[in-house]
Amino acid sequence: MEGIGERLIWHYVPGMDAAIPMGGLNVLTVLNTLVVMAVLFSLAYLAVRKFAMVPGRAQYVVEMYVGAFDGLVTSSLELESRQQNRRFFALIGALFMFLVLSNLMGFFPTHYFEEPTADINCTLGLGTMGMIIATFCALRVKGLGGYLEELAGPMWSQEGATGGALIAGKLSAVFFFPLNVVGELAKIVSISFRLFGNIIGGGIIIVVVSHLVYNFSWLAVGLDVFFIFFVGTVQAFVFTMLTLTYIAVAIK
Amino acid sequence: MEWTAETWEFVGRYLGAGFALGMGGIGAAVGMGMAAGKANEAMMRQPQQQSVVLRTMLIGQAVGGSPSIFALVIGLLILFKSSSASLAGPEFAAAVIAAGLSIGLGCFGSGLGCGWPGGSGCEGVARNPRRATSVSSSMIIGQAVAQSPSIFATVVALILLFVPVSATGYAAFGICLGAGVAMGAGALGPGIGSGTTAGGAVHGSSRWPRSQAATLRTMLIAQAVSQTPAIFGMLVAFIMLFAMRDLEGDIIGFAKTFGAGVAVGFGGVGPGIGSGTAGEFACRVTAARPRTDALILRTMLIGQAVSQSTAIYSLIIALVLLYVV
Repeated sequence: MEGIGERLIWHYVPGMDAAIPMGGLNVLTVLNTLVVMAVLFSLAYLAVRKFAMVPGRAQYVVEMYVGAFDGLVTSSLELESRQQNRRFFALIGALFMFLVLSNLMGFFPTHYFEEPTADINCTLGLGTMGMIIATFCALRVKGLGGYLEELAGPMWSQEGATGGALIAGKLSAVFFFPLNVVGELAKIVSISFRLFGNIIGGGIIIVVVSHLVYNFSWLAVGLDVFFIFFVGTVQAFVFTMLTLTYIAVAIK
Repeated sequence: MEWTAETWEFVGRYLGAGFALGMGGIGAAVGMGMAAGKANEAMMRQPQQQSVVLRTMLIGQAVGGSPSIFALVIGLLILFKSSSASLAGPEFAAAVIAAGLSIGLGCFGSGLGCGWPGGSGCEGVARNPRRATSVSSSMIIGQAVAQSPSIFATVVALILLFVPVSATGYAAFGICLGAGVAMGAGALGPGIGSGTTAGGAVHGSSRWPRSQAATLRTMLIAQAVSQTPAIFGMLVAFIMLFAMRDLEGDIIGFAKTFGAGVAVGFGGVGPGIGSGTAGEFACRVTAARPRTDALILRTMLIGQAVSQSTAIYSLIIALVLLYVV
C-alpha cells in the first residue's frame, strides 16, 4: 500500500533493491512493451497467413477492423489519393492496436505484467510522437510561413485592410502567438496525462479496494474488469482519435 | 487548550469527512433528481412505455450516483483509517482534509453532469422504444466517461491518504491542501461539461438512431477534450506531491503551493463547462447530419481549444508559482 507513491515515479527493477533514477530506464515498462509487440506481430502473422476470396471467421474480423479504421481515417483526413490515406491509416491502426493491447495487459494478475501505458514515459512518448507527426505534416502542407501565420491568430492576415486595422491585426499576434504555442504543447500534456491518469488510477483504485474489502473479492474483480476492459478500450480509442484529429486539423 | 497530535488527528478526520460527504453528495443528488424528473415527463408522453422508462431511470440513476459512493468510501476511509507513524499530527490533518476537499469537489461535478444523460436516456427510450437498448447503452457509456474526473479525484484522495508527504511545517499544509483543491476544483467543471455533452449525445442518438456511431465518436472526443482541466489539476497535484524539492518550510511555501492549487483548480471550472456545452451541440448536430461529422468535429475542436485557453493560463501561473518565483 505504501508503495503506491513510488510506483508513480519510477519502477523498481525486479529482483534488485535499487530504484532507477530519473535519468535511467524503466526496465519493466520496456519489457512489457516488447511483450505487447510480440503479441501484435504474431497476430499480424496469423492474420495474413491464408487469404481466401470468401473470408473465414478470422479473416472477416481482420477485414472488419481494417475497413472500419480505413473509413475513419479517410473521412477525417479527406486526402486526394488512396495512397496517402493508407500511410496515415497504418499509423492510426497500429497506434490503436498497441494501446488496446497495452491497456489489457493489466488483466493478468501476476506481479510483473503491468500495462506499459501506466508509465508516464510511455504515454508522453506516444503523445509527443503524435504531435511531432502533426506538426511535420502541417509544415509540409502549409510551409513554415503558413504554419507560423496560422499560429499568429485569426486577425493576422487581412485582405484589403487600411492602416489602423492592419496594425491592430498584426499587433494582436503578440497576444495570440504565445497562446497558440503553449496550446500546442498543452495538447501533448493533455493526451498523455489523460491516458496515464486513467490507467494508473484504475490500478490504484483496485489495489486500495482489494485491501479494504478482502471478503467481497467479487467486488474487486468486477471493478477490475470494468477498469481494464472498458476504460482501457475507451481511452485507447480517445487517444487514437485525438491524434488523428490533430493531424487532420494540421493538414487542413 | 494545547493541540496535541491526537487533537490534530480528530480535527483532520472530522473536517475531512465533512467536506467529503457534504460536497460530494450534492452533485449526484441533483443529477439523479434531473433523471427522475425527465423520466416522469417521458412517462406522461408515453404511458405504455412506463416499465422501460422506469428501468432506464433506475439504471441511469445508479450509474450516475456512483460519484457519491466514491465520496462515501473516501469519507469512511478518512474516519476509520488508522494513522501510521510516518503520517501523524498536523501533516495528517492536512492530508486528510485535502483528501476530503479533493473528493468532495470532484464528485460534485461528475455527479451533477451524469444527470443530463440520465434524463436524456429516459426521454429517448420513451420516444424510441424499439431502440431502447442502444439508447441506454449510449447513456451508460456517456455517464461512465463523464465520471473520469471523479475517478481522478478519488485517486488523488487515496494518494493523499496513504502516501506520506515529504515536507514539514506550513509547506506540508500547502502541498496537501493545494493538491486537494487542484484536483477537486479541477474536476468540477469537466464533470459538468462531460455530462452535458453526454446528454446531447444520448438525445441525438435517440432521435436519429442511424447515426449513433458518429454521435458516440464525437461525444467521446468532446468529453476527452473537456476533461483537459481535470488532467491539468491532476498534473499539478502530482507535481506538488511527488516532485517538489527545496521548498521553504514557512508560510511562503504554504502560499506558493496553495496558491498554485487554487489557480489550476478553479481556473479549470469555466473551461470544463464551456467545452462541454460546445460538445453538447456538436453531438446533436452530428447526430442530425452524420455526413458532415468531420467538419463539425474540426469546428468543435478549434472552439474548445480556444475555450481551454484560460485553463492553460491557470496551468502556466501554477507552474510559475511552483518553479519560478
